Amino acid sequence: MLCQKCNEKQATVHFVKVVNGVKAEMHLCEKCAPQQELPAADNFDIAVSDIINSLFGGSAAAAHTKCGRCGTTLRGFSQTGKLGCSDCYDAFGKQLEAPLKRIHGGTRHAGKTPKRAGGGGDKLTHLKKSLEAAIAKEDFENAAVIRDEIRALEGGSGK
Amino acid sequence: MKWYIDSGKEGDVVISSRVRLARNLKGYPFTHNLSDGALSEVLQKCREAARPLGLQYLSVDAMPPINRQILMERHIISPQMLTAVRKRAVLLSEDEQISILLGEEDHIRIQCMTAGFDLEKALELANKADDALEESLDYGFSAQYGYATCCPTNTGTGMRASCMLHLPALTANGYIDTLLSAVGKVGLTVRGLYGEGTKAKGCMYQISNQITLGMSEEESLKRLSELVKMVIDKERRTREGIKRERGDKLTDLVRRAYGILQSAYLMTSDEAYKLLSDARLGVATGILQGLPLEAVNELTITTGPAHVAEAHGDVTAEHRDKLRAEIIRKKIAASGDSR
Repeated sequence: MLCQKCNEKQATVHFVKVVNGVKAEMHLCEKCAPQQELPAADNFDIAVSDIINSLFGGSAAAAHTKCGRCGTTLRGFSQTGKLGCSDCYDAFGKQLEAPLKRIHGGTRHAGKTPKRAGGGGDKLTHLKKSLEAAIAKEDFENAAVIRDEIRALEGGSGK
Repeated sequence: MKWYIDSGKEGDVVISSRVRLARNLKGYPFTHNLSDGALSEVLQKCREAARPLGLQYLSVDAMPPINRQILMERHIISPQMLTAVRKRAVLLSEDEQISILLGEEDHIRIQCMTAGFDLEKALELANKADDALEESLDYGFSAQYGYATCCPTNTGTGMRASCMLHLPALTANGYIDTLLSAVGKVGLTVRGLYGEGTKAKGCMYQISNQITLGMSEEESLKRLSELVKMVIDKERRTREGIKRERGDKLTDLVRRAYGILQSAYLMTSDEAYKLLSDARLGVATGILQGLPLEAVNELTITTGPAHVAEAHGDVTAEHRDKLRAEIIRKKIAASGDSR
């Protein structure tokens, strides 16, 4: 197969892009490929921004919520599927819950905590806190998962 | 032996395992929002923090395209990083098992690879590197959402664990399509050879976790492991079935592939990939003896376009096909006869 750009050399770099179920392929040689700046993981971002968009339902007030540190707006986020900085998570807070739930099922971190953020490696304490929070929010699905993990940890008593 | 050559646990089906952790520095915007100056600062901070790990620092943006492609063919950098224009770097361990990508979508992506099916070891290595970095870096983190990542699909643990599987039998009987559509329902995903959005080449597939929020690293790894075990078992049984019912055809396919690999004079990278996949199946099912899996693993990497070109100076595609065929013939001859 020849390179689609220069039509001279053998195509050795193959890109496949799937956007909303429509597949586009691109076959390039090594000379042309590096010059072709590709949008990173297009398909995924679009799927994510679709989810996010559908959740806000075009609510104008919500869309203008802005992160104080980097200036990213909720609308901007819904268009690109990318957050601007770590502080966006605090700035958009509650409004991120619904899209994150759609993507992951859960809305509360249940994994490693950095020592500097008070993790101290005590996973059990962290999990118990998460369980309380999940019950308080009546997120029983998530609570059940956390409960199972606590049981596994306590039962294993390895750590 | 490098992880991409070594044949590890369940090496007849699982080529390698990988764990990647996404991290970002507190107080800096994510990479796409950083000014060039701030990006350099972030890279420098991470480089300093990683010093105790004793890794080699490589500036990806300053690297000739061919060297970047070599890193991609070894699965160390992503296709996105291949075309990087802005400042990006990789910190790499000598055995190439640990690589830390700096300035990708997230400031830091710690990647650890192991040969064969060994996700636990990969996670252990990644956690160690993470702990070392954390000694002097403040990560963006919140109690509710975990590690802050640029894309919400990584939020939480920031962990993506994956196994690279060779599934020729499941590809042949079409089960792979069922698998592709079913894994999504349990929070896992299947991708092509070079990750997201790439095509499966030579029957190689990556299975990875999708969920990063609401589940611990260990739980996520366990779910992935269970699915991978199921797929290994299915692939093996399908191979046995094919061997039993269409043994002559399978032997013919494998021997033809071996014959061409042994004596072809010109070989494109696509053809090499396909034939090496057939030969790998032959080795795994005991049809081809004497050719070790490690030799197949090695050839799968060393016949990549950039690897061939680099070893022999920048050459034309046609000349490369000749060199590739030569590399394969030599390696097979050195590995001993196999009938």
